[in-house]
Amino acid sequence: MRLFRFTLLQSYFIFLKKHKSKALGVINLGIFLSIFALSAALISFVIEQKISNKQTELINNQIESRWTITSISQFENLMTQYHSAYENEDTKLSDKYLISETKLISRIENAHDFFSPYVYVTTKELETFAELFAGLEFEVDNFQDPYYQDFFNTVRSYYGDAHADNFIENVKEFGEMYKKVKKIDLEDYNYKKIPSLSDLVDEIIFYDNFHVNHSSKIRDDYFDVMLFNRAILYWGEGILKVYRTYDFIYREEIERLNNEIIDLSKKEKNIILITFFFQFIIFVIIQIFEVGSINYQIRKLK
Amino acid sequence: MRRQLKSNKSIFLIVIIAIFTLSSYFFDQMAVRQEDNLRNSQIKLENLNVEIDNLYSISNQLTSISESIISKYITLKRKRNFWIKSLLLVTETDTPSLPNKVIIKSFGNPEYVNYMVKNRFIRNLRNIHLAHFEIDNKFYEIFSSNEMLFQKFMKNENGEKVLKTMMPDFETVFQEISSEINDKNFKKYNQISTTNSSKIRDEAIERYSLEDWLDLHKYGFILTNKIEDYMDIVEEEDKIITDKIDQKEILRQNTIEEISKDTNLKNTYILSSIISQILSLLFLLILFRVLIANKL
Repeated sequence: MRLFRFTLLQSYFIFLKKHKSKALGVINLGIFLSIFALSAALISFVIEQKISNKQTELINNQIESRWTITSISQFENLMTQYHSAYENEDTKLSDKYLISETKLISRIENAHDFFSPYVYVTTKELETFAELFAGLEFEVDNFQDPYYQDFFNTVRSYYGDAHADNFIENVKEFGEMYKKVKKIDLEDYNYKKIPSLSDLVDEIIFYDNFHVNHSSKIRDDYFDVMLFNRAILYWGEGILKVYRTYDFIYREEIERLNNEIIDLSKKEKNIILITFFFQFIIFVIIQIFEVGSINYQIRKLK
Repeated sequence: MRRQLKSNKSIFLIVIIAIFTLSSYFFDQMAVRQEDNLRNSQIKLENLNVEIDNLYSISNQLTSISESIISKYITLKRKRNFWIKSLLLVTETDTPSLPNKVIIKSFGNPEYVNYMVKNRFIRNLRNIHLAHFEIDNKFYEIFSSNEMLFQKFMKNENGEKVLKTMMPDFETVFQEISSEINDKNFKKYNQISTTNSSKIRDEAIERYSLEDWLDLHKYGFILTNKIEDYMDIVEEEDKIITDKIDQKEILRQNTIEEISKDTNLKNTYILSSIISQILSLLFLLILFRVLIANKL
């Protein structure tokens, strides 16, 4: 069929000898337009590459933003739990101060009973905490660690100097308390051995030696742990600020990328439209010749 | 009627047109295939997103359990000697060095205090058991809805896979301290520790000797110590989940790169097809031009 049409075209072109310059003009226009269409297609190709790269960047940012939002909610939740646990402990401690002044209670619940579980659990948790940060090569107790420097700069640029300086102070305090609590020997406070009757009787008789309100190493360790837990709360506030800033940065970045993609898409849409318009004109020119050749043959046959 | 092509140029142009027409079809086909790959990669990405979100949620739930275990552990550990010391102080025991007689005299209703201390002693033991059950139940809620992730806690029972309990076997725990126990009757202490019946409690309050109370204290003490094991389970499982999250994150990053490559390739195919079409039209026009110019 194609060959038949081509044969028809051949005889039609011979017939066109009289209108050669006109026909060449039309064909030249077609060639000119097809070169235009080709350039437009190449431009849209380049634009498409740009869009594709930006889309990848956008997906990455969306995932990071999603991770940051999840982390904020998890961290916020954790900090709330920590906060209520700290306040709860503080209230218990106040009550304990008072009721320990009664002889009955001071004999029944001594410093070891009251302080050791809290010291033990916090010290044990700290070990897990230290392992986690060691895995990230993050010296969490050193405010000069590059991670912290990045955090401080982030907070400074979005919240201002006052917030950043406050954050630095909190990190320093956290680092000091972290080092102190890390020195506590976990084994000193595990109290896994079941006390014998004589141990219990001794504790009751010599209650004054283990009094909650009297100074002792266990009491000092307990206060260090309490101060460490309070430092965690302030440290956590700063870290949350960093997370919130990252979230803000990601959202800004996502918005910028979205706008850029929309902009490039509009351009690409227009260029593709022009390409198809040119292609359509070229197609019409070709059809003029093809239809002309068929009409010529029909007229010849008549 | 049939005319021969006299020019090699025309034949060459026809071949070029044919090549570009064919490559246009080819690129169209490749774009369709690439679209399939892209769709699969996107489904993979969505699945990974869901999996990662799920892992984060499990990690979150484990953190909540951890906080609950810590709170229970601290509370119960603080009370580890509270009731036995109270009992030694507020009841008339044969321990000569204790100032219990003076203390008992200071109470308005010593019988009631005696009853109350012993009753609370038993209830404290019940609370230790309850803490174990509550923690085990929380583990069950997480592990049962994510069986695939916690296969090591599954066991076969009558041909069916069921979740193992996280609780220690109380009798085995009791046996661990049997050398320190006066009356080695586990059932006796287990019944009193878990009962709801005030009648059984009242009987024990009336009949139990100091040795029995000391045995009960030791049993409660070791059971409280066992709560710490749950912290280790949470820590271990959380580490596993965190590692899984890290692996999935890497996989997700790779999938994103795959999608990016596939999208690039698909767009390249589509645009190559358009360019091939344009080139085939361009060469067709050149062929027309040659045919007219050469007058065949």
